[in-house]
Amino acid sequence: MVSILLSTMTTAFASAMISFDQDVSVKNRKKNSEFYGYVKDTNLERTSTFLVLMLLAAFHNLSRTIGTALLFAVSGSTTFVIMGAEMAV
Amino acid sequence: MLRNDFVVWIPSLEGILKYIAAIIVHVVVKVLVDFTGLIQCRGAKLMGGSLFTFSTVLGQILPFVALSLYDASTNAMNAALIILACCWGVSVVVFFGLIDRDKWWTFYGTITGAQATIHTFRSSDNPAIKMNAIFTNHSSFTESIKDEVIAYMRDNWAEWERTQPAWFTPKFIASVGDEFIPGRALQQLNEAAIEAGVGARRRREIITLSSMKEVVITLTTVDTMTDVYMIYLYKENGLHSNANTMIAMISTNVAIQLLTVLAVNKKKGWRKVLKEGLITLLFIRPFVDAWRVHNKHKDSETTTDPLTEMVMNKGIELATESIPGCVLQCYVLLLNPSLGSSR
Repeated sequence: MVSILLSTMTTAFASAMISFDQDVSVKNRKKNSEFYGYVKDTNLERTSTFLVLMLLAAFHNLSRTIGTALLFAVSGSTTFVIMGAEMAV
Repeated sequence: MLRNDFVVWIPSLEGILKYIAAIIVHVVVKVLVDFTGLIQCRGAKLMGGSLFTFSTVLGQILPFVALSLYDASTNAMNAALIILACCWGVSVVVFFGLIDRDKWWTFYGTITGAQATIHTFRSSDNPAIKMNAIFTNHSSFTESIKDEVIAYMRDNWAEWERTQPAWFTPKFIASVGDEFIPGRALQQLNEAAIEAGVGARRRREIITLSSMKEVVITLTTVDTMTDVYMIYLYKENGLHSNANTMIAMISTNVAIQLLTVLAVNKKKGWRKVLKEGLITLLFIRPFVDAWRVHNKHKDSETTTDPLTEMVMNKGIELATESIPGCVLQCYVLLLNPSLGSSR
C-alpha cells in the first residue's frame, strides 16, 4: 500500500513539475505566448496551481491505475484489446 | 493519421526512423496522458487539446466500466472510485478557476502540429520566432508554405547578415536547408567553407536511422527502493512472474535511458559516454539531472540542454517504470489482499 501511494505521489509530482516548469519557462512563453502562460504570475497563484496540478495528476493516476488493475483482474486479453483500441484513437 | 498528424516535430528525422520515432512518441505521450493527465501533452505537437481532454475524461470512466465487469466487486470499491472521481472533478474546477482564462482553448483546440507551426510563422512579427517555428520542427510540417518561407528569407537574409541578431548563429545557419538561403549568400558560405579547408558549408546532419525538484528526486529514488522491496516480497511469496515483470520494467527504463545517454552525448568520447552510462546504471541519474538543472550546467558537446534531458528521463521513467509498476502493484494487491498488510 505504501509503495502504491509513493508511486502515485512520485508520478503526480513529476507530472506537475514537467507541466509547471514548461509553462513558466521564459523561453517557452516568448516562443509561443498563445499556448504557454496559463500559470499566473503571483507567488500564491503559482503555488496553488502547482498543488492543484499535483492533485489532478494524483487522482487521475489512482483512478486510471485502479481501473487498469481491475481490468487485468477480469481478463488480460480484454485489457490489451481496450488499451490497444484507445491507443489507435 | 487521418488528419495527417502522425509524423512528430523532431527535425532531421527521415526515412523509416521518422515513423519509428513517431510511434514511440505517440505511445509514451498516450501512456503519460492516460495515467498522469500530464497537462503539457495537450500541445498541438503532442496530443492536441481536444484529444487530451477526451482521453482524461475516458480515464475517469474506465474504472467504473472495469468494476462492473469485475466479479468480486464490493460497495466499498464502488464508493472509493466515486470519491476519487469527485476529488478529480473538484480539482479540475479549481484548476480552471486558477489559470489564465485566455488559455482555456488549449484544452479543447483541434489544431494539428503542422497547423500550429504554420500559424506561429504567419502570426508572429519576430524573425527569431518565425525561424524557430520553421527550423526546429520537422520539414513536413511546413512543406505547404515552403515558397512563402523562401520568399521571406530571400527578403530578409541580407539584413540579418548585416545586423547579426543574437539568434542568427552558425548553428542556426547550419540548420537551414540550401534551398532557403539566397543564391549569393549560399555561394559565400560555401566559398568560406572551402577557404577554411572544409568541403562545403556546415549542415545539420540528417538522421536516417528548484527546491521542489529536490523533493521529487528524493521521492523518485525512494520509489525505486520500494519497487526493489516489492520484487523481494513477490519472490518471497512465490509470485515469481510478477517479480520478473517488475524487473523487466526497471530494465526497460534503464535500457531506454541508456539509449538517451548515447543520443545526448553522441559528440563525446567513449570515456565520457561510459561515465554518463554508469550514472544511469547506478540509478543516480535523477540526482545528477537535478544538480545540472539547478546549477545551469553548460555543456557544448551535448545535443540538449539539462532541463530537456531531465524531462526526457523523467518521461521515460514514468512511462516504463512508475506507471506500469503502480498498475502491477494494484493488480497483485487485488488478487492477494494479504500482501497489503506486509507493506
